[in-house]
Amino acid sequence: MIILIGAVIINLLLSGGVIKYLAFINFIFAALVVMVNLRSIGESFIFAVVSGIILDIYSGLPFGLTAASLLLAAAAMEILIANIFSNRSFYSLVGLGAIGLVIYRLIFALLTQGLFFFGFTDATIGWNFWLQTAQELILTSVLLIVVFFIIDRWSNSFRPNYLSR
Amino acid sequence: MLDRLLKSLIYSLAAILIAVFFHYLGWLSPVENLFILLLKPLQSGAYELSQKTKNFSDYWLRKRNIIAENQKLIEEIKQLSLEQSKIKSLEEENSLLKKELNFIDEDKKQFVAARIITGVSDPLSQTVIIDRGAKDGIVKGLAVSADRGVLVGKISEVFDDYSKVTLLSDNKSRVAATVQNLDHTVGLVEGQYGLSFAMTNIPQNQDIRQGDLVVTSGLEGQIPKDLLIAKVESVKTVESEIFKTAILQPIIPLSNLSYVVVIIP
Repeated sequence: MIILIGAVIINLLLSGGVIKYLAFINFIFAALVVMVNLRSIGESFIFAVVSGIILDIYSGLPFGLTAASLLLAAAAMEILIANIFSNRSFYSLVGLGAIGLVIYRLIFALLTQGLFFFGFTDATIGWNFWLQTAQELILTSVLLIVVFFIIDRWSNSFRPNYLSR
Repeated sequence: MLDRLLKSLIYSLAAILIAVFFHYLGWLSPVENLFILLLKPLQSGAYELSQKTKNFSDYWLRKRNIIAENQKLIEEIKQLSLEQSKIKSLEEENSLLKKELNFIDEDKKQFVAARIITGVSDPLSQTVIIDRGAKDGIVKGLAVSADRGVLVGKISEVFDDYSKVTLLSDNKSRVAATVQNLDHTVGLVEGQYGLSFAMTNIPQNQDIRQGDLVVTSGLEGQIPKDLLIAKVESVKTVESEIFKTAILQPIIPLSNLSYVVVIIP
């Protein structure tokens, strides 16, 4: 709950653009990656739904779009963590975050185009969106690296991992 | 594991569908309003800080050009002062003639000043949230201007204490407009992927030039006539097409807004 409130507040504050590039860091998604790594499926899904709905309140797109994209990305990450990124290492966290973010934006783009096709929105995906996604991917990965070292320093949640050996 | 995941996914999707249903029925509105209300102090502070930071960096980046710009502005002020004196005398003449003809003053617009609290959370929309809502008489579709004369967007969603404003550069934005040229060309100002805006549906035979001003046409009930929208930057003409498009240059940068005025006709 604390992570949820913290991530939502930071994300919403920075979306106003205090410093241009900070707006590209997806704090909520980074928090979701940590949740998927450390908590149960149910808890990470609740996090995805609640934070997605809060983001939808502030969104100019059809309501529910962000929540559904976050939830489906969380489901994809749960499958990935169970089958590929299972060792909770530094590389797992950052790799899962990067792949998860790409999946999230792909789902977001697909849903937006679908809603556009059926006439529910006038928003369409252009090159600008993918350019922003690339910036978001780099900066959110950097955030995940920082988060990993913070958690690794103060708790045993990510151990054993490659770096602590 | 897959079974548990599928079950949780179905429940969560159902929760989102219910929330969407409640949102469009308006039942979620008090919760949404309360949420924005709680975060307002933090958000408006962060937004103001972002505007100040932006202005400060803009100043240092543009410092070299400021002297040249200053000279140009002094010349423009001289020109505008001349035009203003002409307009004043025309205004006086107009009001005198109106009095003589017993004209009823139709200009009974109300203006509601509002502060921008924050931008939006998604990368595709050009929308801002303002601190005025249904309680202040705001309804969907009203014109939002910077000061009282330059249109910047339209109200797209209204809560009790807050409203969402879709800016002119948003893809969803459409405003009926007229060019202040000899033909009084009518067209539609549309947002262009959040980057700029353009006037479309202009018949090929219309004469539009760079620098022409574009104003609201008043054809939409909620949007008053003659609000300034933009200046024509260039005109794109393809001979095989029925209509041409004018690329517009905003009068004021839409990303630097802090306060706006909602016009209630």
